[in-house]
Amino acid sequence: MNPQDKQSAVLVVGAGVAGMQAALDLADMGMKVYLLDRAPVIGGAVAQLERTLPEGQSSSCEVGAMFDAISHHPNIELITNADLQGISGEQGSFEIAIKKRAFRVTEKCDDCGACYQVCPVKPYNTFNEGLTLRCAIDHQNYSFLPLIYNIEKETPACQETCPVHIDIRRYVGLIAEGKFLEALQVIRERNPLPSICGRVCHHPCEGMCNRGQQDEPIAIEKLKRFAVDYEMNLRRQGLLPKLSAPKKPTKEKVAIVGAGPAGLTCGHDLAKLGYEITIFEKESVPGGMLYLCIPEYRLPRDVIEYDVAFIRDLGVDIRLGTPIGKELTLDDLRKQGHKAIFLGIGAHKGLKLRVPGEDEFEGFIDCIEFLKRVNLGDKSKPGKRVIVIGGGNSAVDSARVALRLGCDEVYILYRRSRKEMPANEWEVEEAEHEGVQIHYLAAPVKILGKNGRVTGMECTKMKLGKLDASGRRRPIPIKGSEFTIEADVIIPAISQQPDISFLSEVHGLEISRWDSFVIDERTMQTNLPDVYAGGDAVTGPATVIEAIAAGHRAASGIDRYLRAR
Amino acid sequence: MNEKRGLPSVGVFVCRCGVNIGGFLDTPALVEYAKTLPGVVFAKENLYTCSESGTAEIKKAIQENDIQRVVVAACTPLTHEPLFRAICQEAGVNPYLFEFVNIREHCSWAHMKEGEEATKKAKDLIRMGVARAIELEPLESIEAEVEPSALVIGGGISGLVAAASLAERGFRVALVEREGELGGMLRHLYKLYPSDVPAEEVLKPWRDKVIDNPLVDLYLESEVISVKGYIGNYDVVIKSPEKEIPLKAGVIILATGAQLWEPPEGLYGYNKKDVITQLELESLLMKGKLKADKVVMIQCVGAMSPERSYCSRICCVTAIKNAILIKELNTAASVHILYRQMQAYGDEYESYLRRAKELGVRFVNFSPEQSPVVENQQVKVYHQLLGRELTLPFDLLVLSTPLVTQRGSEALATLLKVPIDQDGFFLEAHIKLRPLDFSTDGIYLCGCAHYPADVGEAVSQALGAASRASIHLTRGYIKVEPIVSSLIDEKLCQGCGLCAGLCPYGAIEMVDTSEGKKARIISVACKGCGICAASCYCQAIRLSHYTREQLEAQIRALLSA
Repeated sequence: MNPQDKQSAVLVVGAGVAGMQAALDLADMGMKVYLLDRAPVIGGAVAQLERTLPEGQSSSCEVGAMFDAISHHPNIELITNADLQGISGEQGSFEIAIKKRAFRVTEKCDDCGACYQVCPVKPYNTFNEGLTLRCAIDHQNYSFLPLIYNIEKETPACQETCPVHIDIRRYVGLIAEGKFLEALQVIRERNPLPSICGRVCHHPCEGMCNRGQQDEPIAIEKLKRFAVDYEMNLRRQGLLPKLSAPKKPTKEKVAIVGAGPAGLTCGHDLAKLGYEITIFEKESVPGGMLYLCIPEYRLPRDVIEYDVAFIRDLGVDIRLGTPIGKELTLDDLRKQGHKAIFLGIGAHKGLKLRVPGEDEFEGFIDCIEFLKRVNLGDKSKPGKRVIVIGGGNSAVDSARVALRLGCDEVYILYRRSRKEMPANEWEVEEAEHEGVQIHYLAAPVKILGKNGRVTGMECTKMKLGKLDASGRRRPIPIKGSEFTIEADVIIPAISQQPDISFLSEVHGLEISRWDSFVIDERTMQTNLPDVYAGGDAVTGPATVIEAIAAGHRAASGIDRYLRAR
Repeated sequence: MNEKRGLPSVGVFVCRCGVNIGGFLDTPALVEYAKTLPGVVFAKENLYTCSESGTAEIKKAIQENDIQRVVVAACTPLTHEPLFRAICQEAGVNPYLFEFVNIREHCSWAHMKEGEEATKKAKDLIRMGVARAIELEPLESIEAEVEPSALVIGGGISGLVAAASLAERGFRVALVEREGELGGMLRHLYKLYPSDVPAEEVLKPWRDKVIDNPLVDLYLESEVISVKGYIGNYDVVIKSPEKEIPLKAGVIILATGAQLWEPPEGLYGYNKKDVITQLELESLLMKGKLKADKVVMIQCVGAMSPERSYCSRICCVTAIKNAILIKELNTAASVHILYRQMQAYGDEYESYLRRAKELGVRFVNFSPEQSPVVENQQVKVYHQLLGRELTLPFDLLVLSTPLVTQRGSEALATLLKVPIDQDGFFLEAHIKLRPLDFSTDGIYLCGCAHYPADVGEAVSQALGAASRASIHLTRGYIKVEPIVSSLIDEKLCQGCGLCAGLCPYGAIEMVDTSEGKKARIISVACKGCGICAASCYCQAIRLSHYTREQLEAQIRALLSA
């Protein structure tokens, strides 16, 4: 750093009387002063006092003069409602990081005072040392500086945790007040697939719910389902107005590849912003993995249709059975006038087991293949005895579906213990209850076959060793513990990758070694400026709510990109 | 110009102050009334005139209605006049064309239960305010250059610290010390509480900084004999043993310290041999000449008495410190401290007190009605808790006497025209908001000259005073409020000098002219108190913003009802 870069500016941390006086003296000397305080207003403890020692002067009369001097001092810049985050550098050239909380009342406020008379939220009044209640919106004191109203608001743990940051507190509160449709409006602000998420979201919000420390967390997911069901019933009874005709788009055309949760969300957001959206979907149904992979007993098809209808209603054109590939390439989409393309193709290609015999015998069916087939209407039995390999939701779903199709015996083989199993705990429990036999700490060694068909599998028992990169204990085979399970069908469910075979040979996109798209995480932009990607196609197999979050981010990235052009 | 009567157009803003005014006075009626007053072209009420929206309305009204005089009927000028003046300025109206009418303290609060009468009174006050506003004149603030140097009076620890830190900022400092050596009281102290560091260790680095800094001019064995001028521009004369030296200074820091009250011979047997003061004990400890097995200390000797009603603050911890030092020299020695109230405040001094108790120092509380009696090498004291008299034989009796004002303080106060309190200590401008300033701009104080302080406090105050003083020195100019006196016509002045004698800020000097002696007002030093204007027999002095015309208009308006 050059000496001429040295700043003649001072940061004063804390705007009580000491901080205020220091700021005034320094500013009077001609220095630029930043006066920082955590509170929305300055004045500190002294301003809270009625009178001060020793002469019994009213404190506001004493600090009031300071307020006036500070508010009109050209050299003092107030930074209130903010926290000091860090200091780096050295004397003469400190770099300060400050986190400022939002003031939620703008300068349009007319000081009418109506808000705080009706505000129902009553936190403790810190100004009065918590002896009384105040409302969440308040001005601290008339004679304070700056003279502002402020809404005291922290982000609740649930909202913070939710990948799309639904205002959970608000919608749960509205449900408690019986305002079910209003609650649903709040959910839809951030989540365009509420019916789906009301049923299959893995709801990390509940894990963080403070109520859980008391007894049980608030049933956030089920409350969401309730709100949607309520609306669904009213609509079916014809008690709600029909969805209105879509508005005419006013902005550029954007193409979305894949009608899964990421693509649907991205299309939803962009359509609301006025873009003309076409979603190209390879399969004959919308919803992507939600439709193809999640069994109907977990997520009824009409529920998917219900959410999709809302998105269609925004004017989003969902073209089913329209794969992107040789017939219709990304370049063709560009030629059609699409100014940006979002790739939400999911991760549909199952990984191989890489054990001897895998390519030798018939009787293998990948879990995604299997679930897709069933969900699209083929209800035939895959075989008599089925082994599913893996511990995720797809594995458990496959096993339960196989059982429900009438297979005699269904096994799940998982190489770690139940604690490490990524599938939802309640799904595993239900699967066991239905009769799925789960072998924990077991892994395939060799596929056994006869006459070209699978007859069973040789397995080995495992033990858990040291933690690996994923934070889980690495399974190690126990020598001599081999055993055999007889089976005629083997369903590997050990993870999936995006299927990028649809891309032309010279697509120019940066692809990771797991065949996923490489993107800028803030904008979801790929290395091609007009191509964006998100969801499983970027992260590998993940959750629906994460895909929705990715859709939101991509939509805002595309919007900014198109507006900047 | 107001079309009604050729008067300047006046805007009146009536504040409801929430319920503070609106809850007691009929503010809509006040607005309607204001509209009927001569000159008023606009009147409105606000919920809070001082709020962002209230001040925005003033600005808007000024611009839309071509308002030339602004009257706000609200609370006290003490807190909000600067705000409204600034608003006027931002809207393009000279800030001194603003008149504040206090209908809160003077009406709604004073007459809460007589709403109707209070409303009537508010109308009177608003009428008076409007009448005066019409007579107001625009004023421009006064600027003057600041001589970038300082005079520090006193070479004790606070004077040294103040001088060193001003010189470190690059300003020339004249440091005047009456004695032949720097260091003041600290030269006579052995070790300092609560860390027991030798006083010399604290003193030396500051003294070296002052001696080594070429920007500090030292005047030892010298006194300030004349100070003339005002902030930014003082003419000082220093009398050194050799000659009188004139010099210029922009600011003055007063750090003359205090002295220990010496008891009269015979008080508690005071004889400077086996009955001594704490300061004399320090000297014994410093020379290593202390020989005593039975030590008794009496606190508050000559303090908290009718003559010196204040607590000297430092004597309790000094006694504790010296008791600890005695105990550390000779564990077997018995030390009793007879006290009235133990002032060992704060965590640090509190634990220091505990340490003394752990070392076996005995603390005996006495009441002033039953003061200890000394006779035959014994102290007799009534023990409050035991309920009986104790007899404590001693071979050394130490009297803790208070710090009192430095000799010559009064003369210095007259010279600098700064106030002193009933005990002779210098009086700050405001006990909390301006503790290191005098009410006269440009003069600052620190250390025991203000009030008994320990070394840590004196150093803090000195750093603070230097910092306050360097505001003006750094900026290089001062800007003062233009509400000042001026001579209407030099011919009117008879040169009696009454005004110059009465001026509390030294802002008037008598100068010789061809027409004889005449008063000359130093606007920069004038505080606008108006004493000169009120006392001038010849009505030769006029105080701007409070002119005869303005006040008369106000009084006429009151009587016109």
